[in-house]
Amino acid sequence: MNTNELSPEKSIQIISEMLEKSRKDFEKDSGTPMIIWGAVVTIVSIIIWYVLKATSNPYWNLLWFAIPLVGYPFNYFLYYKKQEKRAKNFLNNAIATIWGCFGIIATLLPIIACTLFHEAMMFLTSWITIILGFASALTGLLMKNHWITMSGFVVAIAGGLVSVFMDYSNIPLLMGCAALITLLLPGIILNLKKK
Amino acid sequence: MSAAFKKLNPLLHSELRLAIMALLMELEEADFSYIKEKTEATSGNLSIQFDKLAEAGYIRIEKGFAGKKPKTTYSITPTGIEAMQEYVDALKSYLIIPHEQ
Repeated sequence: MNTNELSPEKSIQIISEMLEKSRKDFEKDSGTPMIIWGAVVTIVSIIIWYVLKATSNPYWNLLWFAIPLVGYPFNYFLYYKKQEKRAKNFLNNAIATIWGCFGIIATLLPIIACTLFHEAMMFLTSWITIILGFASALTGLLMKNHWITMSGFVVAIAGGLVSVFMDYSNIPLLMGCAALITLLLPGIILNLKKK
Repeated sequence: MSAAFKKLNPLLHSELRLAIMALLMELEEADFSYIKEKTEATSGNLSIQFDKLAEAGYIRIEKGFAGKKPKTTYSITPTGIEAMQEYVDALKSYLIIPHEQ
């Protein structure tokens, strides 16, 4: 590339080319963190649902803490470490901020609540499902992805309503379904589209 | 074409400077090696163009460290964004849009 004068058509071409080049870097594997967290939350939720049903021992709720313990290292090694570090993109930073806030709430709220109130985990799981849907809807709106936006709204509203009537022992299953709909499936679709 | 030609900003109407500005429009910030890779320009030429854009107040240059290595990052300023918007508006006056034919 040089500093020569150029035609208006060439100018438009350069602008489009540069925007496309930088977008591609950040869109590549953008669904990977959703797949990682979606898979971890879905699997852990189903395990908790199963063992609670089988044993009725509420201490199995402690398994919820496996989500951050497994999710963060997986996300670091399979996604964050491979990311482009030489440039920062506005959209990716906004999305990372939304999920960072969700992560803080979803990790600290159960720790604090379970320390203060025994067996609070089931109430919290339905609230976290609503926040998960909210974070997903915001992500979809920022990415202009209708599937992610709709799945977020559906999970936040339907998940919130269902959890009111649902038997507490089935709440982990609701969480697993929410993670499947808002994270795992959209993540797989995003990555397949970019390939 | 009905509208008169608008004057194109000479500082932006150059292949490399326009490429740098277009790239930074999409990014919060980028370092030297990233911009060099995307624009495929030589280091010397790139440095000269960075200085010209910074002198006009279109980009911000920040020198810092990444660990122990020196690192220079570049970002677009509000003046730069405004200049790019005006440049694109001016460009439109040179282009024949099919539905206006």
